[in-house]
Amino acid sequence: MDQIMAIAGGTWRRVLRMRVVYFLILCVWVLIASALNYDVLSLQHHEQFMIDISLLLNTVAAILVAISLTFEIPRELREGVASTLLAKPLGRSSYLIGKLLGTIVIGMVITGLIGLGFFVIFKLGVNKPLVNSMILSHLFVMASVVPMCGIALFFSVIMPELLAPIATFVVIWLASSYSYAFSGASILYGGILPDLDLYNLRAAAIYSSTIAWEHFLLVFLWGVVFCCFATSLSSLIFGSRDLK
Amino acid sequence: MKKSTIVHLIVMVAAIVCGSFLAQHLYQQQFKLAPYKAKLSHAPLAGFHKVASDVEWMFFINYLGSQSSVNKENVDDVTARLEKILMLDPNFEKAIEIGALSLSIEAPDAAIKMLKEACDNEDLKDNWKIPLYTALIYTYNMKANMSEQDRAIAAIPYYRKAIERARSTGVQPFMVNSYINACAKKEGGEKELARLNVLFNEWQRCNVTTEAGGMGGAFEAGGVGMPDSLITDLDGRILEAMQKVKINHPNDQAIDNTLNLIRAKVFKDRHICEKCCTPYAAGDKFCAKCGAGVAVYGVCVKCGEVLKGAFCMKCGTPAPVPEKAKGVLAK
Repeated sequence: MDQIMAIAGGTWRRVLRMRVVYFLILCVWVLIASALNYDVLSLQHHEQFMIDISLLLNTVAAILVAISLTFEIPRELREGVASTLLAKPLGRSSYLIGKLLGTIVIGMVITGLIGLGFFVIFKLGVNKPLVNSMILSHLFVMASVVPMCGIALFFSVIMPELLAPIATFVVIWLASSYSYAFSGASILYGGILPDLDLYNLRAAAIYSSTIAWEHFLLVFLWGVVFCCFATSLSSLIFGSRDLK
Repeated sequence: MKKSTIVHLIVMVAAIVCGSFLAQHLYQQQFKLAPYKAKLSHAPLAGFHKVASDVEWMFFINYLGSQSSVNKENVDDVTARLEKILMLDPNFEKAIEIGALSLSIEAPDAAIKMLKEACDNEDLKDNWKIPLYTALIYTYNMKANMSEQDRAIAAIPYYRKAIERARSTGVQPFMVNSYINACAKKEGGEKELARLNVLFNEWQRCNVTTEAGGMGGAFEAGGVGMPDSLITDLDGRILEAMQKVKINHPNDQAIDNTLNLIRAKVFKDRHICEKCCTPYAAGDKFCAKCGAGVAVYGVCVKCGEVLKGAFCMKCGTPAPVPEKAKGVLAK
């Protein structure tokens, strides 16, 4: 466990110390706030537009954080950093889990900061109370980091540096768009094939629909379960792989 | 097989089974939380349908702004753009309302189709403008396709829906007037008489008189704002309609019989001139509007002074007890 936390801590500390991360978060906040200027162009639809933009940018940030894992692991394997680490009594599974956890923490911090910034901008700019569904929809985006990182981890161990991010992006996109096509296939749907559309209740934030906290917790649980599957499969493949 | 491999396989199998079970449950659950998801376009937008609809909306506004009006040349384009927006977001109320109004002249069929789908949308069940626009477009914009009576028949359920939905926020008087006019057109015949029939039928539908008569219950005739009626101030509207009918048919015996029936049922506790159907006050001997003689009421039996309480202010004679009260007091 210490080894896992050491790897994870090293990962998130390295990224969260970079000033460019906070600069990018600031840029996202500026883009969200700029949506308030679209009142004339959207015929007073700017509030809803701002909520949509914040969820869009937050989701993009979550995807980018997940994809960063597909650069991290192949790069470390290519540079021999991973070999050095794994030469010590550090299991391959521990290495992967540590990387995964570190990336999940980075994703949750970044998406959490973006969400918080949106809440402040909404309160100041629109001067209306925050609705439960608005908060939950951002929490859904934060929670979606977990299965996305699982997908990224899987592709980072089976594909080289160039292909892994592309494959991860494509799978995330398909899992968010075409999940309905597999909904009838038990075991396959939700078990092996991810359904990232479960995290999509963005319109509910606009229309202030009631979303139960139990539903959120179950979706989060599914994400964790799927991530366990992806991690276990990745670990099985990584364990049999020759690192030289 | 290594122990670690077995552990990995067990974890994978358990995760697949649990994940599949959870996902199936959550997939069904999300349609209860978000019914609109079932109607969304299957375009591969990774769930960003709402943002896409916002962008399409802004393009649409830009496009409409570049056109002087919606005419035969651009109506198909306008319709296609609106359909695209609503495929991405079926609950986009502003697009439905503004879109339907912009299509109402050149393509009323398309506007009504869009509005009808929105009327059936459970997520928009609190929106009263959508059924109202449907009804108004039927009433005023479908002249080329339907007769007046058919338009009224088609519009009536949507007027009703609009009034029912608007109850919580306040019903606009023109909505009720439009509804009554549509019902009158459905009845056919002379306009004012048809309106009176509609209003009286509504009164009869909503009114429940008690067996004992007298004080009666909450739904007695003459009660204002009977809970079941869509028409506000039903009594006042019936009275106004009676006056107009009397003006139009001053010497029609059949209509006089109808008016007497209505007076006896709806206004049995009120005093109304038989000639012009105008209410008159206690002590009046002649109607202030038409001059006809009226049955005097509310005066002292001894000195003829208008009674303002339980006793006459001039001579102290007790006021007569009303017929209804006698029955109650006897009990």
